[in-house]
Amino acid sequence: MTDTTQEQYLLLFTDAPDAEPYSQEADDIFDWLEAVADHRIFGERLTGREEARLVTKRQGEVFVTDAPVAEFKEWFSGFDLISASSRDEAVEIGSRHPCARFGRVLVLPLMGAIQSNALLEQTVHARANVAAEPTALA
Amino acid sequence: MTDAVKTRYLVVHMTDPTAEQWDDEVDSPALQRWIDAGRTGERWELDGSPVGDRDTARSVVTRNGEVIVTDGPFPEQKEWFMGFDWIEAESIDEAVAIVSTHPSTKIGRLYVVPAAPLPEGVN
Repeated sequence: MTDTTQEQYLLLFTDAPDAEPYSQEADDIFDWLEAVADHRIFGERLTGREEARLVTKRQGEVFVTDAPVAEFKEWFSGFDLISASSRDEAVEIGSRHPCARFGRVLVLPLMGAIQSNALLEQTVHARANVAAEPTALA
Repeated sequence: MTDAVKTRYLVVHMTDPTAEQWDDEVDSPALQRWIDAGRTGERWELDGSPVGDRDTARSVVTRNGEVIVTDGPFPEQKEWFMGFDWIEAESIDEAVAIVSTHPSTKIGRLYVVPAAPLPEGVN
């Protein structure tokens, strides 16, 4: 699972005010998944901010905010963890993801490689099942 | 691992200009406890990772078919990413409880974002 010659990158997808409106017909996510299968470790779509929480602790007290508004105003739509031989390759992989059109892709290099483990295996397995039934995601 | 109704959460660690400073004496052991709990627990064992600082990041968009790559540091963004974790919990409240002991809550802020539900029959 983990190839030590490869760097790992988090591709974080967010909304973007200047993006083109989402179109299911133009969403070629399954082509992307197929094209980058050798690089993709796992990824997920994420829910909207209404379902999310912000957690901070100040002077020992925990604060939980429902439906937080991020300071940068955009929100996360999903992520993929990928391996690549260089940042340029990671950028190239990210640029072909439909979220580059419908939002923005942040390419964040990991400081350490994620090792395979039970939860990761389960996640990858679940995603493989979804990929086998693309219409289920529609 | 047998219960089916667990949700996975992306935990996004971000900086916060109003946060407190990292204190090695308190925060290093707290972080170690958090990591150990995840590794030995049965529900949330995927190690996360810190990410590189602003200078090492890239923003990528395609507009009108053209790929536009922007190099960090993105000064317009006051918050920046410190890292992420991927956890599993029975509810958002449990997810919040799990992350509330992570020192990133003190030195920054944590967003807990549920994965979108998987289609029926997939687990």
